[in-house]
Amino acid sequence: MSGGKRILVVDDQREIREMTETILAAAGYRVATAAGGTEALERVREGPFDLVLLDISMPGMDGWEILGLIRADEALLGLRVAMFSVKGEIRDKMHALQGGADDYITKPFGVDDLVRRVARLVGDADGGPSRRDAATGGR
Amino acid sequence: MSGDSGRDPASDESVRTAYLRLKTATWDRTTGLPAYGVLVETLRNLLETRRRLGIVHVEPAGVELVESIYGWQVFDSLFSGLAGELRDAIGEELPEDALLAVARVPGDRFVVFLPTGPGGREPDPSHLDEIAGRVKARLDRVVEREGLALLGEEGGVRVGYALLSPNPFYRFERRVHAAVDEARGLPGRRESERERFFRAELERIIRDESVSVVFQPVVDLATRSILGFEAFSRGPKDTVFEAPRTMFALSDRLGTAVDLDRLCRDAAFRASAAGVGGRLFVNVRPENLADPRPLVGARAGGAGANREGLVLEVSERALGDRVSAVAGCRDALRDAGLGLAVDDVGTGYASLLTLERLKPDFIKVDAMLVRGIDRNPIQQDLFASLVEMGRRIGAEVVAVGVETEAEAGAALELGARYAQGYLFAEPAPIERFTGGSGAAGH
Repeated sequence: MSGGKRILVVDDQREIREMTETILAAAGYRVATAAGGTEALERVREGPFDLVLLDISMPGMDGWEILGLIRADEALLGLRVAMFSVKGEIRDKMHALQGGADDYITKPFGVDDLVRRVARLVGDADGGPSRRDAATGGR
Repeated sequence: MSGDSGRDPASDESVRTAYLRLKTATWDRTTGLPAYGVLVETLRNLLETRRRLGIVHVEPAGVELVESIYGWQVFDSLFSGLAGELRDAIGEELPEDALLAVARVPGDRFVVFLPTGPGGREPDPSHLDEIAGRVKARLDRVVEREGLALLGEEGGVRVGYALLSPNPFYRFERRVHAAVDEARGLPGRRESERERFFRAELERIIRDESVSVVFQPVVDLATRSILGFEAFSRGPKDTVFEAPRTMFALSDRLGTAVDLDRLCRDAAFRASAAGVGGRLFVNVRPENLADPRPLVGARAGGAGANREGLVLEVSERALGDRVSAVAGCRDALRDAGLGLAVDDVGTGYASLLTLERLKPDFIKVDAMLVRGIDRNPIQQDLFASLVEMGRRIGAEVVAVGVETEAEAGAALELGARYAQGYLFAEPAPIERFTGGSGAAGH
């Protein structure tokens, strides 16, 4: 089902990156990781990715800022972004909704839950890739 | 480069990232327009060859009012509709070389710069006045099409204008800001006239008790039986006060909210005395909860509402710093046999903590979170946390504004027990529901 879809995992904690990578790779996804904002932005520009899992609390550029920068970039139109955080407060989820995130996944997550949510997010993206291809092709 | 601490974040920032940082600060995502500050150099260049520029300032009346009544998504969608219309107006009402911008980011008003007037001449006040009128007429139709009663008769958008001419004595950027402020201030006097008109109307409504009451069933999602009804008070027909939310938001702003609230509450009691079964949800202001005696009296028959199962609804948006006061009268309400519902939950104003302190009997989840919930995982997540909170404090969840079967299905699956919305019935006079509607009677 996953069809080799590409996912970028952005988290400053190495254990979380590795664990998430292992889980998603086992589910058949092609996974890349980034430890911070600058690296994440470089990676998504090299792309293309079907989904970015973005940690909120990181030193330097935090997840909200990275989300804003992704959403301001025409070249990344249609890229799916799920926020990824230990904070499960209503106001954080509202913030995600307003900031244009596609999902909000609270850590710690169960393996099944993560795989199910990711599958739904990249499955929904059918029809999306053509938009993104058109956009990245124009660079 | 050794370790994260002490590293200058700017040193390894790519040019593209720096560009996007600037862009997020100066560019409105909803409309794709720049903040006008970005245009200052362009304007300076334009003024090398002309003596003045026209400025037209466009502001949807009562931004914060629209947002407080309908939520930010609705304002964003209105704003982007207005931007589209302004773009279309270029070459028609607006000259070909007009420059569109927003005043600030995120956008809530527009600034249009006009380098040329009619026939290539310089822009002048009478020409600007005419343009402002035509632009207003065009944009008001957009507001109307979106079905938003902004601020009544003169409502829609406020359009003002000014001329910008450089003066070497002043810093150019400040001249631009001053001219934009002047354009914005121009329609201000008319606005306060409108406020006076609204205040007088509200006072008349309260004096003549000219509100009517309509009812909307609260439905059990699984069985589709009726738990009870929410009473809505409407102002006079064909006025801006007909929409209850607009009436209350205006009355809030103009300081007549508490009186209007009492009037509407009593009207709801009287109307319901005609007899609908089940529970009756009545909206009250938190201020009017502080002394529940009149409410208890009403229940005992004072206003003809001798009925079981009265539920008082307070809006999360109106709670503000009155959470303690409401929590303080929680026991008195319970002793009097009155239920408490918190309405408009999940719009970001109050936290789960508020619910935990108030321990209402019903959590009514705002339509903003319910609309399209079958397709949006973040909304589902927010909804599920509210259901979870409900379980913990013993409150039932009501999904408000359900319009489709898919939304009803998602709400039920996420654990809500009740719902109301157009899918089941729109608010209507009591007679509509008294003809043996299968209401759970008592």
